[in-house]
Amino acid sequence: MKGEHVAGPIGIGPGGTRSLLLTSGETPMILADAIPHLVWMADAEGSIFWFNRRWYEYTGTSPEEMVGWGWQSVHDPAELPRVLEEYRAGLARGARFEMLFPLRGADGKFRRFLTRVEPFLDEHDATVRWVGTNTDVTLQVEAERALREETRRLDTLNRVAGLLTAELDLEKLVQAVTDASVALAGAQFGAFFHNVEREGGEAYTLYTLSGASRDDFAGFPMPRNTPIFGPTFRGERVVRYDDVLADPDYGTMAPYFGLPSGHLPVRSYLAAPVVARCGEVLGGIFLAHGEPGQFTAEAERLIVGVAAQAAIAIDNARLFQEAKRELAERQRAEEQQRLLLNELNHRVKNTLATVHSIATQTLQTAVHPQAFADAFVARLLALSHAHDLLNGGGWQGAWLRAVLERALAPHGGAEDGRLVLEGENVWLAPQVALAFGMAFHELVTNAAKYGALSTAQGRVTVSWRREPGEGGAQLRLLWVEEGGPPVRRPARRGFGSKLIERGLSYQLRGEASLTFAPEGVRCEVSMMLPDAP
Amino acid sequence: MSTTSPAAGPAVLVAEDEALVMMLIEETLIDHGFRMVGPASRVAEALELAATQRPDAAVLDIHLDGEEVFPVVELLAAKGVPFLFLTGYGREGLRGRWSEAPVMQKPFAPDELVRCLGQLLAPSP
Repeated sequence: MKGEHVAGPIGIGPGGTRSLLLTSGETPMILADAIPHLVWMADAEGSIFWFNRRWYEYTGTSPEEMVGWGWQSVHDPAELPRVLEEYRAGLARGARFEMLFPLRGADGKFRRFLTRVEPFLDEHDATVRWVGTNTDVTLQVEAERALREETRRLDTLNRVAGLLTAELDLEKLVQAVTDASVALAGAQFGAFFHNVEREGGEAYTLYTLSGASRDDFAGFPMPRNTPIFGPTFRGERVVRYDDVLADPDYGTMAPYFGLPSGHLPVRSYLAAPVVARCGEVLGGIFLAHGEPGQFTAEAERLIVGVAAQAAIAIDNARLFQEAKRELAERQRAEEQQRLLLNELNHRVKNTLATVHSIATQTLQTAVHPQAFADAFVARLLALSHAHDLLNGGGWQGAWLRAVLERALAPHGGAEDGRLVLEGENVWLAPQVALAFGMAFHELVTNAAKYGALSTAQGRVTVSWRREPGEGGAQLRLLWVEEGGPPVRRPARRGFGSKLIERGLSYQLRGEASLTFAPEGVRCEVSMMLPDAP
Repeated sequence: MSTTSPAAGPAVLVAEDEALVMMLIEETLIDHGFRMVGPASRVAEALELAATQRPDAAVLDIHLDGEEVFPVVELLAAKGVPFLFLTGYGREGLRGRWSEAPVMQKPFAPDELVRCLGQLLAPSP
């Protein structure tokens, strides 16, 4: 019975329809041969005894090869066990069932078929035949796969976009861009290079890697403005090579003429510039694969999309960081201002306390209100002049000579030869400079009233020098008056004496002594200098 | 105060790095029968004085030659020596556990300093 069916396909030849009167039994056979599907029939046990012509055409087999269970030879061995299992299970159930499997064509290529298997029953409802119809669904399966792939990529792209727009940390952002690019394009590794023009160079800073470690790049210089990298760093266009080694531009530049030896292998290459809204090229996404032909036009489109998203996100992150920096800067400035105001207030209060002290002590020695006013104002001015000097130097300190010159200025200064200043450059701390300024004011005022500067012949010599001493350098200063009227020791200790012997020595943490020798007043000062240059 | 003799009056430790201000404090103290311990213009000096002397009270500037006087305060407090701050910063210059301590703002009225010292030295009720 089997042979009868297998042997006699009543066909339609290439030449046209054979004009026949068909028996009622032949009609289904002709139909079965005319349709584009593969059709077969099996007995109740599932053993196939007939295939239509299309089957033989597609598989390139002969009826002899197919007899019984011979059909298994055109199946994919990897899928055959599953197919057999499904087939047997279907038969056992005794109802219509479907299967999906690949079949090898005459050209050796597999195509996927959807197979529908239908039982035919006798009058007692027993299965006597199984009829199978295999429909080629390769295109549908491909389309579905492509659609799924496209959906997956769109999902990824959307997820990346969401991720990127939410990320304001620049470093994390760039890492996310790199990771997403590698995943979307199917690269082996990828990098984001920051566009940083170094002075005189074309070096680019490595920013982030994905699929490779920094060690893989250690020892290699940054990519340079070669014909292959250039268009990316200039923000011109996306660059895609199926095989970078085959490109005529590859390896044209010294010193490496291509990839440095030991570099990760790169054949497939895809790079897209990341360009900010303002046109600034922020950097580039660089993707690589060790095999040629790995990056599709689709991947290129995706990476261009990611690059656009990245540009916006990086722009935003930069703006955010700038805003944060600005805010912090403003807070710092406000804090600075507060501290300055505090410090200013402190200084004013301290100065007032100093003035208070000057007033109190001037009052003790003043014989009448006018004398008090004159002396007090002169001292106030001396203090003020010393302040001016310090102010000019940002309250860092002052040179000793400048302090002297400022204090002596109201009495002719050093120009007329009656005031001689001899000494090297010595830098004084602010409080020390103030104390010296006040002390010199007392000395020169006294000299002008009673001492060497009260006559035409008298003169004052101020000399100082730095001396090495125990525990550091010492300043020794000598104020010597000569040629004035004979000096008489004052009956009572005045403010000047007190200011020098008590105040100056205290402020200097040194010694200050005043001698009323008959030939002229002498003042000796010694103090430690903080740091000898 | 049982005597007006400066040598025998209550001893007041003075920490002040501005010479002219120190001189005014010194004068105020002497004029009112106190004895000055110090003065100290640095924290190290003030610590030395606080450790070796037994002052009855202390008048302290907060910043001495760029250093804060608080270690001296700790030592004085541990010894039960009453003190007051005399500072250009006023109360704003005080921090932490000392923010409620007696404080006088520079410039100061000498009479006020004397009054405050009197309060510090008065026996606790």
